[in-house]
Amino acid sequence: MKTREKPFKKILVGVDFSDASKAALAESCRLARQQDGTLYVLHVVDISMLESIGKFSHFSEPEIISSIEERLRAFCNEVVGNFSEIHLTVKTGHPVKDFANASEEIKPDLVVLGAWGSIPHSDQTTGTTVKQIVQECKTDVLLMKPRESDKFSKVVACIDFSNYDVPIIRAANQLCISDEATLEIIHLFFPPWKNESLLTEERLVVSPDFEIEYRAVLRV
Amino acid sequence: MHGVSTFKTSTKVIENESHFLGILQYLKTEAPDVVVIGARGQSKIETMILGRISEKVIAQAPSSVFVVKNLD
Repeated sequence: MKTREKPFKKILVGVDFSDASKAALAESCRLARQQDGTLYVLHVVDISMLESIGKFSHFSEPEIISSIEERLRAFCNEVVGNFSEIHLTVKTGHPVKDFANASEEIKPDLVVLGAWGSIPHSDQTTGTTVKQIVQECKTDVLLMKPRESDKFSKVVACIDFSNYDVPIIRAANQLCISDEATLEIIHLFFPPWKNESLLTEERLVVSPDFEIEYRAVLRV
Repeated sequence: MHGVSTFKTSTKVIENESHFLGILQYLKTEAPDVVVIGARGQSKIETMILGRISEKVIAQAPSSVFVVKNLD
């Protein structure tokens, strides 16, 4: 088991024309090139926004959609160049629900999104729509932030001795291999003797060496 | 270590009273390109779509985040 059994052959990437989604598309293309994969690029036009524009614009909905399709083609050409294994789709609907539905239909090995949308929060935290899509999608999701390098040099994997650990390490390994990136596997540990909920009369009585033994097991 | 074939690998156990703050602090210090986390942690509550720690890391990590949802 050196890598994931299912490499990133089918990658679904959500695009909203933001800088973060540009980073998501660029990274998706890089992964697809490395693994002979196919890119499915999806932009969901928010139906409520489309209706609002329709009320105040002389353009018809098909004209607006056609112009968005043209913009998506130009955006992809700029970011991925001559990569041929790419399918572009513009859908109208609810950004979260329809993205999740598309993911159900395509059944990608990986979903890639920009970490925030076209209106980033001032502190650059992940946007609400993005978080909702992560919740709805059943497949692994990579949330990309704009970065200077086009390669991964360091990947951190967080494990907690749950049944997620093996897939986490496999995925981290998969991200590291092509770039020969460093993999750091970390485990966060909260000493039980500091847990106030255990500080009752009924708490376990431990030997004076318990802390030393506990730390030795964890090699802290 | 589960057949990790990566060029350089290290393991660390970090003590912190808050798992989330411990991870966040580590990410700020070490500045990785991407952090890989599970959608849920040790919690056995099946109805939880995302674990509380995962949700906070997704929201506030300074790096890109890979969320593992598929256990296959």
